[in-house]
Amino acid sequence: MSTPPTADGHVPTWEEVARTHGRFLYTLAYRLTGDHDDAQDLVQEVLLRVRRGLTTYQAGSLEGWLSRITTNAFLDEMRRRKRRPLHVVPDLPEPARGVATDPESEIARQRLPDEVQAALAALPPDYRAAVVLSDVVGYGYAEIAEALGIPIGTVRSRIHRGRAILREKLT
Amino acid sequence: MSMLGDRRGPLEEHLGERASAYLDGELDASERAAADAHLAGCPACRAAMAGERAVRDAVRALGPVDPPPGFLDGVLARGPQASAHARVRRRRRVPFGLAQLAATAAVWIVILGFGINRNADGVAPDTDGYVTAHAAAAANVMTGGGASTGTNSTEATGTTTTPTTIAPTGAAPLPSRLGDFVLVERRVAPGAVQAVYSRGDEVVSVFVQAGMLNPRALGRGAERVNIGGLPGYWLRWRGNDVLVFQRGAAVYTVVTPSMGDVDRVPPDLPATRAPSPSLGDRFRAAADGLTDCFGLAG
Repeated sequence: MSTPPTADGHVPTWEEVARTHGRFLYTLAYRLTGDHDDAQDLVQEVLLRVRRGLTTYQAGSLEGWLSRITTNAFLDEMRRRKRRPLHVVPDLPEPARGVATDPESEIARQRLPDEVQAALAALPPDYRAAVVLSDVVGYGYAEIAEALGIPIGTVRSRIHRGRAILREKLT
Repeated sequence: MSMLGDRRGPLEEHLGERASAYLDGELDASERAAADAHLAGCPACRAAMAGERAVRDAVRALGPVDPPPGFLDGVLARGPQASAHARVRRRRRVPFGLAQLAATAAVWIVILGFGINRNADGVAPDTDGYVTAHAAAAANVMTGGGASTGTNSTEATGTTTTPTTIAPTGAAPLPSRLGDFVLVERRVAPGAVQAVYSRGDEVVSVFVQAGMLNPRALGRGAERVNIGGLPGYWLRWRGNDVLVFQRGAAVYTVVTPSMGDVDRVPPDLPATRAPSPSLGDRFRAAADGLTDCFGLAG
């Protein structure tokens, strides 16, 4: 999944990022924001940060680098909005009620991607960022801790609590 | 046997937050051994683990998301934009007039394929000129110059161009009908191609310009709208609804007389006007059609 980074130390330009990783960036932005307008804004913000050299490029996967920028730009924006009325949180669809079975197969059988995305969008942003870095990007906890600048114990706890909320919403 | 807060021996202590780390392979060997020992004898933790695994797998199963067609091309052409003003305006609902435009969404399937010259500075629709051109075309239709519904005329009297002029390079021919709408006229407007479609007394003009849209040139009256995930701009100009959007490497401007906002429209619309699929679905379908027909994905 990860692109070999610039072995020669070449820092990618924002145009290169947009051309080669646009879909990856957009997917990440959409999973974080849960909204196509916000995702487009976020992608542009990430490209702006790349263009302005506001982020230090480190050796490692290009996608990892972009994930860090994207997640932090997302959290910055969420903090900025905190003073305002909350933006719309998508309504969760009514869960389809079937015969209760074990939660694992129930979630696996009945949940559509849109429902999962809606549940994700309802998570507190800090939890969402940790869950997305873990389960969409595929980061390990140490990488998440570094990307978000939080202790690894906090990563553990945010992912656990985030998943607990998701489970509640999806079961 | 509280699950909360008690400190016991490793065999008795519930996993709590360690469940995630266990699941994700983030426990060290000794922690993992202790967790395994506990899980073997604790149905509650096994059930919690299964639930968390299901949730994790559901998130992992989410697929990639494609950006709206044209979005990345637009960003590459214009450079990334900070979006403060767009953010303020973004939540605006699409007015009802646009619902009428959406009923003609198939229009856009057709019109890609004109010769494209990129304009690095971005292009701006000549809104005022287009509205004038549309009014002239509509008047021509209404005075009998246009095709009546049910005929298949593609060349109305008063047409100022020939088909070859409007389709410079490799263009798909304009179809004579788009659903209920009939192509009644084709013109060359200043800097753009104009296609005029009518249905009864409704007339819609679609203007196509090569290049990348410069939204700032639309002025302060333009509001960013989101129609089924496709970004566009909407403005009122001299009694018309004007919708501007980027598709591929061309800018489309749709002009039709304003129908009024949703609030002012009676709930019982004539059946012929009631779009059965949602607005968003129609736009998505149109977007997919554009991409499929001409292979011009963003």
